[in-house]
Amino acid sequence: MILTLVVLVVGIAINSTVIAAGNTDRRRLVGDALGDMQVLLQLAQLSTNDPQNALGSWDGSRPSACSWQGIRCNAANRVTAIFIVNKQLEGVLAPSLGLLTYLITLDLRFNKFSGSIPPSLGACQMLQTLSLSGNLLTGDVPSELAQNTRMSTFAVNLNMLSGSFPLQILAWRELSVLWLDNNMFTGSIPDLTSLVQLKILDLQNNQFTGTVPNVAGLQALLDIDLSNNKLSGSLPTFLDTLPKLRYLNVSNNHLTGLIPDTSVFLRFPASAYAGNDGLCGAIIKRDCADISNMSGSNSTSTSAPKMLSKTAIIVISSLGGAGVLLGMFLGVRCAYRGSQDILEDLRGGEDSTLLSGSNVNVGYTVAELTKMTNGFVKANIIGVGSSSIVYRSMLPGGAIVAIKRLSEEKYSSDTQHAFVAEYQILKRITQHGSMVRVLNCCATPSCMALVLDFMPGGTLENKLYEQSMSWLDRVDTAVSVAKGLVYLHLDCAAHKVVVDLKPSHILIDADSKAHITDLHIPRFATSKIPGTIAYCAPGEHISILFCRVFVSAMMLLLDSLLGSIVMHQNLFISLSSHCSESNL
Amino acid sequence: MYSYGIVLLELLTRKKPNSILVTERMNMSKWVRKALLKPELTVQMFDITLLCTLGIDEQLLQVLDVAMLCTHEIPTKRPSMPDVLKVLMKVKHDAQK
Repeated sequence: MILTLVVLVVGIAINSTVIAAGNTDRRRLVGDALGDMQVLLQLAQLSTNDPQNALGSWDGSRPSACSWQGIRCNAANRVTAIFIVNKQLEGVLAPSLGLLTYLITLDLRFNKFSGSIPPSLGACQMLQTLSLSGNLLTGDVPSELAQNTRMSTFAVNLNMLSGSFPLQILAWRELSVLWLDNNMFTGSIPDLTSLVQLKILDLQNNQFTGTVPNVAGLQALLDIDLSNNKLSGSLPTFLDTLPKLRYLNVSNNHLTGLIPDTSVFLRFPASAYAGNDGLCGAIIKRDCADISNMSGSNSTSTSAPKMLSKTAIIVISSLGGAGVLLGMFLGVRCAYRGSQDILEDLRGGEDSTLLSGSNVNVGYTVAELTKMTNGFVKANIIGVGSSSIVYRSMLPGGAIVAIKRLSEEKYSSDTQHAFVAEYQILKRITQHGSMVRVLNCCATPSCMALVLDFMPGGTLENKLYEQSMSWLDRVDTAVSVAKGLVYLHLDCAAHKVVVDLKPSHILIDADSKAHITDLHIPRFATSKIPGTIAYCAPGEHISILFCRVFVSAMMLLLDSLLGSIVMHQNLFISLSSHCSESNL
Repeated sequence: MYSYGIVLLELLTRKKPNSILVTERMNMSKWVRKALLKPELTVQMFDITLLCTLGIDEQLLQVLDVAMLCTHEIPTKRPSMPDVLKVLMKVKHDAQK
């Protein structure tokens, strides 16, 4: 019975000897090393286009699939992991994947798989990491996946998935990373407090409605991104129950009410709350009175300023019709002036509400940039790259920033779209303390530029070679850059960021802290990915990619590293004894 | 990873990989490995101001070890970034004493 079922459901012939071996243990029944290979061969067969020959080593005549590229096995030659990342593979996902009973990691990020997520994956009871980010998948998340109770990373972002929030996720008590962002999910988001291990919650760029989901008390939660949805209601009150929260973004929703002036909300920049017409408060420099005047007296906020304006409206009402009209007139004028002020402030500050939506015309105009850089005069140039020039500029509010303008041959309507998409990701990624922040942009047909933090300390190259650096400064720099790279490796993995790392791309701020700049996301390919030959490993590009594959092997090296001098302990007696000698 | 190792080597030697590529006709990592075979070359390799900073010999060598591993010719022999960070944090701790 079970046998027939499995064969029927999966629809492929498994190695007949396995079936003949007949065993009541279901795991044994559904395969062995050869069965696993059959599944992979079906995966390859259904991958109709493989432009990079990523599956070239998948040779069915081998005894097992364990030597194939991208395949990991356990000691019994059962497949435990599949990594086929960024290979432009086209096709559909094999329904037989569910037969890989020992599968722990399925990582098919950044390919062109279409169709739906195979429901049979629910049978992979060991599955911990399912990463299908950046494909062309449609349909909903199959309910069968509720059985994957060991799931720790569920990344299906950057697809075209639809349907309501997959409730089966609530069954995954070990879930740590949830990336559903950039899909077409609709409906409300359920209470997520059962996901006690959750670290990353990214639901941005969907069509979710309802209120901000309840995540109160999640001790591990680091990042919440709910931006670009249709959430309504007020801001959550549970942020202070999230001890590790370091990133919050609820921008571009329909949230209303006051952003309390408390440290828990002040920790996040104004951009975290931007694009919600009904939000007000000092953080986003919008007076609650303006909003209540604009929307009349039907506000739901209970804030002190709102209370006052309500009282005022009641008083005016009691004065009769003429009074109401007068009040409305004043209100309209007030709101108009208020929103102008906000516009000025935001444009001079760190964000622009103009960025809301997916308009191509975001950020600054050429005219504004021209003004800020005094007409892009040479005197303001602080750096020249192969495809860009960097200017020192002053925002209308007086803040100094750097403007990196791409050279004009890059402009076209295609690159403009890609540029905006890349900008939006870079802006988010560079919030990390070891990055030069991307603050804003200019993306019009005649201008492609990024507005960046200005780093008064100049480049590391200049500081190291033209000035002097103490040992502590150098170690500090090395640590700061390493922190940034760890962050890119682990936290930004899905974006596949490339860094052209060299001293001229490491900038020093006013406090002598080092920041990495010049990040690229090859997926958008708005600019040629640079590489500097002396910094490239022999035969490869400088790419900072997700390297979880190697982490376990590399952990072994740690002990030897911490055991300090491994390689040269016989060679050195005292370096410092050579100080005076070499000075001569 | 490799390029990070090269940046570490620059911090230690204050020598530019491009000029080494031109003058020595080999990449920086190879050049350092070659220099390590001879004590007198090793001493010349380091930035003189670091040699004249007392009490940091061991830290210099630890960072050199990390740099050598990061620039290992076989990519799989290179350490992971979190591991590198751990070692450097320890060096930073020592350097602050």
